[in-house]
Amino acid sequence: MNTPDRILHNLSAMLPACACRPCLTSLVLLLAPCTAAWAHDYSFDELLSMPLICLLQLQFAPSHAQGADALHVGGEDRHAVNETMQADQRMPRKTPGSSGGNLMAAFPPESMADRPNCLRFRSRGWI
Amino acid sequence: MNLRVIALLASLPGLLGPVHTVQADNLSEYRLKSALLFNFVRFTEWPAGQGKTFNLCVYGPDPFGADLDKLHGRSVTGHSLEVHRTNTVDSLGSCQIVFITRPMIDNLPRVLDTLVGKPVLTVADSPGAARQGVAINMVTEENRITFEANLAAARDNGLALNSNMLRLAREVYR
Repeated sequence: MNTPDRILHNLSAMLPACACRPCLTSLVLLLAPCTAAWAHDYSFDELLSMPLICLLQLQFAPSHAQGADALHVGGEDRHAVNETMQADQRMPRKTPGSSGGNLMAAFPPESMADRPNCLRFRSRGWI
Repeated sequence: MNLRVIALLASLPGLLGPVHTVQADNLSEYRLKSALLFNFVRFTEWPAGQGKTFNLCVYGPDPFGADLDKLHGRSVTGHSLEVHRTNTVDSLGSCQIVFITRPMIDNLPRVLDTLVGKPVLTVADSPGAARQGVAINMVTEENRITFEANLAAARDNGLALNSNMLRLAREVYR
């Protein structure tokens, strides 16, 4: 196995099964951080063609209007929304020309324990 | 310095730096839920004898917006989807898929009474809805959407939920 293949193989083994291959390719072949291969810029058609397991891994950015007003949340839910918003504000924002994140940031190894679906999915095949 | 080396060096701080979580800036909650809804239909089996068209009905104020309209006319399991919005329970009997919006969840018992025994997939995104008898309930966890399923509720309506899909559910009520 040559070096890029070995890196790809190791990364694949480390990441959840639904880590997107374009992102891996981008990382290994272009030697650049992942850009739009994550959830940021999928079209609706792409979302529809995505395996269910991957949809379940995507994150959405809570719209402030949606979060507190449109969804009529209250009590504990409102507290959760507020926490989410605060966390959101702490996160680096994607701006035109920026990478919007990178491979390790998107799926940090320590968070994989929180993704049992992905790990279980490895032995089952895609749906 | 070679451009590739510069690119590599530029990528290193991101690779080795502090861990962040990347968010889908452009992905609204309900856009993702629209795609999930489409998948739930894909992985549900209706009894034979259904028409060529599946009516996907949103009961209550539509939180999906234009993305749901993009499902209109799409073919899924041999049926063409038609999207409808309604505020009346009585019209839900002609739907194959009913999404019960949060503002209408207090009316859930009446909705379920109306649909009981009919081949209708009920979907919601309200806390506890699956336990109350909705077949599939979307749950938000750390800005991700997961789901719980009520197998008995689906079965009572003559529907079969795909077992592979059920393995991805956070909770299955039987």
